[in-house]
This record gives sequence, C-alpha cells and structure tokens, in this order.
Amino acid sequence: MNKKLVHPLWTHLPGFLVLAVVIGYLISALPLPDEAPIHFNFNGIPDDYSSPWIVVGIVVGLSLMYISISIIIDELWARQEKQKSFNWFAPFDDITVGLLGGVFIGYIRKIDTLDFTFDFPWLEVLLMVGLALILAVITERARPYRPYEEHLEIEDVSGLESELAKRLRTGQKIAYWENQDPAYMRLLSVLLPLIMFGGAVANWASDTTASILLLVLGLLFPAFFGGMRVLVTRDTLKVKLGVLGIPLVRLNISDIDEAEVFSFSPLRDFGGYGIRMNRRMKGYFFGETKVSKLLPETRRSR
Amino acid sequence: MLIAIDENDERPIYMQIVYQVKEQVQSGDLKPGDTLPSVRELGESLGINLHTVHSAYKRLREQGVITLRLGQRAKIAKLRESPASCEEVEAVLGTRLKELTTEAFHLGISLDELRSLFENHLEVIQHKGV
Repeated sequence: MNKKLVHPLWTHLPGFLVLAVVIGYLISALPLPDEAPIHFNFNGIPDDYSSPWIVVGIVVGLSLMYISISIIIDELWARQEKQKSFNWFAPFDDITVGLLGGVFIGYIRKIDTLDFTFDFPWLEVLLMVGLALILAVITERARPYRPYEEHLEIEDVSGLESELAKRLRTGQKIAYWENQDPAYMRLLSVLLPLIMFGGAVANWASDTTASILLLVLGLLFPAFFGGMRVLVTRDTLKVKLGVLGIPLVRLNISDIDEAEVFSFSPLRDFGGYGIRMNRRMKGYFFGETKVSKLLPETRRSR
Repeated sequence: MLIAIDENDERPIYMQIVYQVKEQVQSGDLKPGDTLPSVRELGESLGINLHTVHSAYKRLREQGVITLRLGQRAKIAKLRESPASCEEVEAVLGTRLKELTTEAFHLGISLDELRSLFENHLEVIQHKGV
C-alpha cells in the first residue's frame, strides 16, 4: 500500500477522544481492586474473577484495533472517490470505541460494589456513542476531498502488439493461457473445507441444520482448487475458476475495442485479491499484479 | 503462455508447440512451477487434435522441460543446475549443427560468415538478458 495517506488522520480523532475520556475516567477511578469480576453470564452474574487490568487491556486493545481497521477502510474509500462523498464507514471505529467505552465506564462504576451484577449501562453507552457519532459525522463532513494520484503503470506492449497483429494477419491460430494459482489459494481450498467438515461433524448432534450448511459450504470450496485462468483465442476471452472451470467471464474479441496492460497493487487499487470492483473497473486476480484493461466497444470500462 | 500455430510452417504442429514452450522458458515468460493448460484446453483453443498436444507435452517431458503428474496440470520443470554431458549435447545439437553448416554451404555462406551470424544471434539473446 502506498505510504502516503489520502485521507487525513485527524478524521479518527473522535475515536481517540473517546478513548482518552475512557482512560481519564479510569485514572480517576484508580486504584483498581486486585481482583474483580471480569466475565458475566447472560443474567449479568459474575462467573469469572481476575485482575480488572485484563478488562482495561481488552478495551484499549480492541479500541486501537478498530481504529486501525477504520484507517485502512477510510483510506480505501478516499482512494476510490471521484468526488467528495460521505463515507458511511467513517463512524465505524468511533461508534465501536464509544460502545466499548460506555460499557467500560459502566463496569468501572460498579467495580467496587460488593454485590456486582452487571446491568447494561445504557446511559453511559448512549452518551459515549452519541458523542462519538456526532464528532465522527462532523469530521467526516469536514474531510477535504483529495484526488488520488493513480499509480497504474501502463506497460509498453507495442512489440507484442505488432507480433500478435502479424500472426493474426497471417491466419495463425493463437492461444494465450495464464493461470493464477498461488500457494495460499491451494492451502485455503483444502484447509477451509477440512475445518468446515470437522465443525459439521462436531456439531451434528447439537445443530444439524448448521452442520448441513457447513458441509455444503465445505463442498463448494474445492471448486476454487486449481486457481483462476485466462484463456484467449482469436475469437474469445474466457476467465474460468477452479478445477470445475466455473465460467466467470466470456467476451467476444470482436466486442473489445481497446486493451492496455498496466501494473497495479491489489490492495491499493482494489482492496485485496479475488473478484474485486472499484469505481472504474472490475478485476479478477488471485496473485498477479499485471492486468489487461479491456475497453468494450460500448466504451464501458471493465 | 502464448502459442501460435502457423500452418505454413514446415515443422509439424506438435514441434511448433514444443519449440514455443521452450522459447518462452528461455525468455523467462514461463518460469519453473508455472502450469500449462490441459491437453483438452489447449487443443480446443487452437482447434487442433488432442493427440497433437499430447505428443508435444510428451516430447517436452522427455526433454525435461515440463513435469507431468497424474491428475495434475503439466508444470514447467526446474531448470538444469549443471550443463548436460558432452554426449547429450552432441546427441541433441550435433546433428542440427551439421544441418546448419550444410544449409549455409547451399546458401553460399562461408563458415566465418556463419560464425559471425551465430555470434550476432547470441548477442541479441544476451542483450535481452536471457
């Protein structure tokens, strides 16, 4: 991923502010008892006791994790914006941190209570989430639009182009074939079904419906085994998936008006691997970073 | 992998496939571990008999260019770590070098000119970084 962020980091300040309020409240409540309830059953009755600092660690750790995830999501959003648009994912971390913070404050307030029964602290949660949400909306609205500078490197394929044109002119039969089958896909195609089958067998007696669902899903995964392949002939371009050859794309060559080859970053430009879409095109890739962009005659880019 | 079949080429179709796969391994377009299309896929794409593709793959396996395992796609084999023995080189290249010199003779090219032509080709290959 490109190191220079497009979206300003201050849009995450509400999350950090809520976290600061939580830590401030914690400091005011110090010292914490050596031992306190750290887990509760559905009725709010404690069923496990330990150092309350474990809860502090979980709340702060989870908050930082959600803020980090949100930084990635908001960055991907900003990179694919053609004009300023409200990012509905932006308040994700703030709401989550607010929820955690509200629950934590409710927890700390009762930590010294002898008969500790955990009631969901609606007031604290509503206050913290409300504050976080308002600030998140304000910062998201204030976020400036920064056009993302494309890093797609168009390759010079004029040599290949003239070579292909010559072959096509002379009536040669051509076949281009490329397979994307990285090790992680092979591993996932075997490992995930095994986990699912194991889960189905283990839960068969307690939840048969879920087990059947797991079995069906597990049976689908081997279809991915064999990766994704592109096959181009004089007449068609096909993209197929797995050993079964599930067709993903089929284009007539005559419908393609223009093609260019460029390098890209899966994470930066599409947010990951697989069958991905951004605002301008759809990509099919498991492992490569070089792709053909095809412009059909309708001029709609793919 | 790009395969083109030229019906005007004097070489049989399976040899055209063999040569093009070997050429793409040499140029680095195909790397050890890369998979090749199945016999059926390649045959249907090129509109040629499956036996022709099978013959090409069989020849490539015999020459150690690809590996074929039951139930798996053909894969580009590891490159040689050490050069072939003198006997093997002689067996594979000797006859063809003799043919080349004969063709050069009939084209009216001296052995020095043939050597220079050959060196020019080698320079082009080296220039490409192969």
